[in-house]
Amino acid sequence: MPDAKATMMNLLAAFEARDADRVMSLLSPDARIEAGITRVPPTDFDTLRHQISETLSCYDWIHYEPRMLIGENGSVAALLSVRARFDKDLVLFGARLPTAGQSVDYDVAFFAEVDEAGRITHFIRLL
Amino acid sequence: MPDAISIVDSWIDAFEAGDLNRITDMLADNVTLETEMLRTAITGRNVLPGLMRDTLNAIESLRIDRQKIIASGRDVAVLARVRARFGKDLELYGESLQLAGKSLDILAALFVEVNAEGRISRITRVRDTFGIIEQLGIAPERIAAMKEKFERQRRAA
Repeated sequence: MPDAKATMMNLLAAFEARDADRVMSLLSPDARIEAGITRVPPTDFDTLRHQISETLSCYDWIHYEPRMLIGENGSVAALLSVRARFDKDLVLFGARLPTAGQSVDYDVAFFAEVDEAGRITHFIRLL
Repeated sequence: MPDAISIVDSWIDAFEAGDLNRITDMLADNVTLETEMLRTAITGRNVLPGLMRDTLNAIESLRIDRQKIIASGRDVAVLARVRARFGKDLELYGESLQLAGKSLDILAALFVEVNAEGRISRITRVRDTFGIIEQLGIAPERIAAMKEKFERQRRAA
């Protein structure tokens, strides 16, 4: 039985370390990602790796404070407080957002399904 | 041990039915509600009807499709697709929102704790804020203004 909560905690640690390779190693090659801001998530692994790498490189630091972490079989839901600081502008879908030097503090919900190998097959982010 | 999933499921049913009495009857007296919009938690069952009545009255139809329900002990997380259609405009914290005839189709998450007596004691809601802004055409500045007025009222209460 996969430990979905452990996978979620590893994912948060990988985001906090801004380590895109570590994030990708936790995803199944056919993982479905729904991140809320776009209705059309990336469908190929290389595009996803590039997007995650570009986004994480804009942060000076990110910190997740788990407020609730609920796991059952291969499913996990996390309610998190996020604090982060950008050291670069964020480029989203070709638009440059003036985030350099800005800090953010907000709540986010992550839901994930994890396979027998402990890798995420479906990830949903709500904020 | 109360069946936390059925309690939360019934509570969501009460929202779909627009039944404010049933919504509040299922809450603990000292319930806390936190949302993605507000820094201040709302505390107390008696406070909620006043906050929800106008919104529920403005909604013509509401469908909440549970996409995932994950539970452990008395904690439950729900991921739902929420589809609402507004039949009336809504006056909220001094802002008049032109919602009549508009529809909303977003994802929302609820994290709920149920107490030993089988009542809901803590609720945290996170919604797709971008979806709300985009679909209802509410400018972020108006959301910020409502948030500010709400926080001021709660501090004064």
